[in-house]
Amino acid sequence: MNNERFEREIESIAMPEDMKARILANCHHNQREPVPEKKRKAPWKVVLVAAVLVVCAVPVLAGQGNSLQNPTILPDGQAVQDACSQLDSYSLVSPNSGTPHSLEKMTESRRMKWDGWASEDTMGGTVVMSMTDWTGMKVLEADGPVKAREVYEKRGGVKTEYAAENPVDLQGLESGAVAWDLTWMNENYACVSGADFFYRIEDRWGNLLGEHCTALYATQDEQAWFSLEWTYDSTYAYDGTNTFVAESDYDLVYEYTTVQGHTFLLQFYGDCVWAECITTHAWVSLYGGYLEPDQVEELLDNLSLTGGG
Amino acid sequence: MTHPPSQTIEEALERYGNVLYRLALVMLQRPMDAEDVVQETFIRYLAKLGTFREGEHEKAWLLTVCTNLCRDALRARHRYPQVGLEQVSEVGDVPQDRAVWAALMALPEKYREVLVLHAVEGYRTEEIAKIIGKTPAAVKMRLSRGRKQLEESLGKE
Repeated sequence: MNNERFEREIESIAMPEDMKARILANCHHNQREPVPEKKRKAPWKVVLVAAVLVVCAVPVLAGQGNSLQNPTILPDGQAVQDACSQLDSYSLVSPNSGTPHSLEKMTESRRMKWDGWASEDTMGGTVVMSMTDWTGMKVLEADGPVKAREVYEKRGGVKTEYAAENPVDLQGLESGAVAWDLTWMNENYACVSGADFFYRIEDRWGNLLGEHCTALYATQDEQAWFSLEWTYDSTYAYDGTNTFVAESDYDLVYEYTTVQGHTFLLQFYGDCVWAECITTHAWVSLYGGYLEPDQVEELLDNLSLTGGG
Repeated sequence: MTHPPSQTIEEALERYGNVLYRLALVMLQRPMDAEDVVQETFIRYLAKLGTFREGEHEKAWLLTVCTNLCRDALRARHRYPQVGLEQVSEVGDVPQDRAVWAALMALPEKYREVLVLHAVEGYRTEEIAKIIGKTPAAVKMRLSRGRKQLEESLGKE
C-alpha cells in the first residue's frame, strides 16, 4: 500500500513547462557557442600554471586574496530575508540539533577508518571537488603509531593519508598552508587514539590541491569533547558574502578573535557548539559537546593556528 | 521493449525530462538545484546526441550523468550549503501526498536514489548498480533499508 503511494507520488512529479523551455533555450544557446579546438598544453606550461596557482594560494588564513569569509550575523530570519531579497541565492547556517553525538559514537565513526586502514571501503573522502573518484590504494604503513597509505584517483591524482594514535604525530606533514600546534591541547585534554587523520591531495603532476586534518579530544572525565578540523583547498575560492547566520536560531552567536588574530564565528545551541574561521581557501572548525563559551575561546587561543609558510 | 534513440534535443527532453527531474529533485530536494543538474545533463548530452544505438542505452547514460552531477552538487552543498530563496517557505510545486514526500525526503540520499530508480523507473538491481556505480549487493541492501525506513515512517501516521 505504502509502496503504491510512494510510486504514485514520485510519478506525479513533472518538470514544469517553463523549466523545460529554459533548459531547451540554454541547450540551443550552448549548441551555438563555437567550440574551440582542443589543444594539448605543453606539460611545462601546466606545471608552471599550477605552481603559480599554488604560490598565489598561500598564505591562507589571512593574507592577500585570501580574506575572511565567515557568515554574517543577523538578528533573525526576517533580517536575513530583508538582506537577501535581491539575491538569487544565499546560505543560511542553522543548527541541526542541540544534542551532541556521544563521544562513543564520534570515536566509533572515526575509528572505522583506523581499524579498516587496509580496506578500500575506507579510502573515500575528499576536500577537492575535482578529485572524488578513488579507484585503488597502497598501504605504506599498516601498523605503529602512525599509519600511512596512498589512494589513487581516476584522473591521476594521489591522496596521501595518515592516521595517528596521537594527533601531535601528524604535525609536520602539512604543507604549511594551514597548521596548528596541538601541544597545549595534549597537555590539557585527552586525545582519542586512532581518531586523528591528515591527508593531502596532489594532482598527477604532484601539485598540492588540498589538505585536511582532524583530531578528536575529550575532557579527562569524558563529560565533554570536541573535534578539531582544518581544510585547505587551493582549487576553490570560497565567497561567503551571501552566507548568513540568524542569532535567533541559536542560544548564543558571536565572533571571537583569538590571540593570534583569527576571527571565529561561535555558535551555541543546546549542548552543541560550532566554531569556524573560514577564508577563501581554508576552513578551520571546532564541533563540540558540553563545552562552555570560555572553554571554547581558550581552546581556540591555544590552537596556535598559523597560515602561510 | 526497445525503442530507438532520440534524434533531437527536443525529443530527448520530452522523453527523459521528467525522469531526470524526478531523480534530481528527490536527490537534491530543491527545484532550482534540480533544474541546474538536469540542464547540465542535457548540455553534456548534446555532445553524445546521435551516438546511442538504442533508447535504453541513451536513458541509462542520462541517468548516470544526472546521478553523478547530483552527487557533485550534494558534495558542494555539504561544504558550502546554499539555500535557494524558494526554500525559505516550502519546496515549490511538488508534493501532493505530503506524508509520502516528507518520509522520502527524510531518508538518506543513497536510499532515495535507488528507490526512485527502482520503484518508479522500474530498473532492476543490476541495472541500478551500473547506473550508480555500486555493486548489486549494495543496491539490494539500500533498497531493502530504504523501503523499511519508508514503511516505518509512513506507519507512524
